[in-house]
Amino acid sequence: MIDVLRIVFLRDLKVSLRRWTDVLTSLILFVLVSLVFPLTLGNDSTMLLKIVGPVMLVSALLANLLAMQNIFRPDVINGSLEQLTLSSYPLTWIICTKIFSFWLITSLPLLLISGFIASSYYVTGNSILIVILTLLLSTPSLVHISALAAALTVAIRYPGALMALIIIPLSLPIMIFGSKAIEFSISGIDVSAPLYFLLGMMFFTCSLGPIVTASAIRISID
Amino acid sequence: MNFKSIYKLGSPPLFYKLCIALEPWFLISSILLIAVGMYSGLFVAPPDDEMGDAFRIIYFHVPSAYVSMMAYVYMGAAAIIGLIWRSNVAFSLAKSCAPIGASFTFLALVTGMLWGKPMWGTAWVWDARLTSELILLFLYLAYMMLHLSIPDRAKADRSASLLAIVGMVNIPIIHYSVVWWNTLHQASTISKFAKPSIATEMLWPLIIMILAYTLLFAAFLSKRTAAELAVREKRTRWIQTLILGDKSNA
Amino acid sequence: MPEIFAMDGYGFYVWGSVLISVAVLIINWITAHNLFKSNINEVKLFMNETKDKN
Repeated sequence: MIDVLRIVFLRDLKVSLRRWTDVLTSLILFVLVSLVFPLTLGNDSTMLLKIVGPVMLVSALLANLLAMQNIFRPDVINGSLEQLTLSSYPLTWIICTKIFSFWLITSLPLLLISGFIASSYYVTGNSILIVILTLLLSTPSLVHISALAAALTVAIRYPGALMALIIIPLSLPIMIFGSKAIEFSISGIDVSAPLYFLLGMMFFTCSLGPIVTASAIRISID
Repeated sequence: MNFKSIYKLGSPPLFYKLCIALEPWFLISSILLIAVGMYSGLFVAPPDDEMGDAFRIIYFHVPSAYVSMMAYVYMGAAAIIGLIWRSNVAFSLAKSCAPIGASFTFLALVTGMLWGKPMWGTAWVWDARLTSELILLFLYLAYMMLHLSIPDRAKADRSASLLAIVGMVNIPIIHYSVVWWNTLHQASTISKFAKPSIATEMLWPLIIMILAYTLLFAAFLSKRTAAELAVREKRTRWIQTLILGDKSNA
Repeated sequence: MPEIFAMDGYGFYVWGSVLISVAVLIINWITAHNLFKSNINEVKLFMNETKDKN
């Protein structure tokens, strides 16, 4: 089974890299959304330091929303997901691998660039590491929740804002605690409590997410 | 506990007839209880020491918040039963719970805002309980929209049921948010084990209103579930004979 | 009577909540009733179609 997962993983990576415009879309959206705020709100460094946490997380959420429209739909259209569902390999693990490869493609560049964005918000020193760590802990949960929303809406022709309506209520705890973590680290308070919560949410969504997503795929496809 | 009688409830004709028969009783009893509760809550109960007469909003805010959470639990339970047993009755129940639950959540939020403005000075604050109640409203809306958007009804039922089950994690968050976090919203006045922290003359109209709202929810639910079952089962003989029977009577 | 209407200065909020609660509940009942009627009509129409076919 590991061979099958490896094949699915490499194939998804290749296909996503071939659609490099999609990869760049989420990265560019992240950068643009987080740059809109200092441009429109002015250059006040205290205010920017106050909003950097929520802005980072909201930009990550929006980039996710846009990128995850494409995780399952092309494979449903070309029939490969149906074949994988019908095969004797556990769909949960296959979905987990797909989501992991998608996370690598869409969210890993976000992590790398978030340090630079944070420093443009006048964040210094240790807090930049905390920003990167917060995004590292929150993006897997966001990706799993978005994959669930994508699986539920994959059979709909024009989903519109339905994915957003499903993702945003479910991801609000992650956004709240992630912003708190960044805010605490900037003010110098001990940051471990929100980070532990984010870690817990990550374990919760990464373990149960693929199971629910797999059943959603099964429901939507056949 | 007679399992066979519970299993029989899954049969559409029996459940339809049950809903049609029970609905008038639920409606009339709830209207009577609302009349009693509103009169005693607004006029008979003594005004609060610190909040004055504004505390009377509790008789509208707490029952609707209670029903909003209970409706979601019913929706989730019906969703689980529907997914496991592929039951039309369970899916009709779940689909009917959603708009009723959404309107009660809206009521809870609006009456809460009307209470918060004089009491706390602000209509809204982003603390845990209010935010998670707002999330509940969005979860209801997401359920309804997902159900509407998928053309195939069986697929729509099952996808939306998955969404309802995933959203059930929100209910403990709403309920325990005042225990876990230091929020602006006050702690529970009624708990199962301790003596309630509210005076008795103020308590019993509240209990009456909670009961009344629950019966009203049951009335709306039976009507909507009967409507949904009728249209799902329109090809079957039992609904056609029922309607023909009504035609000959009317 | 006026003091019942004013409710100790909080009249707008208390009676506002009463009005909107009653309004939402009545709207709920009306929509449930209309849904029931229109669904029964749909079943009747379906019965008429299939009766003509037979």
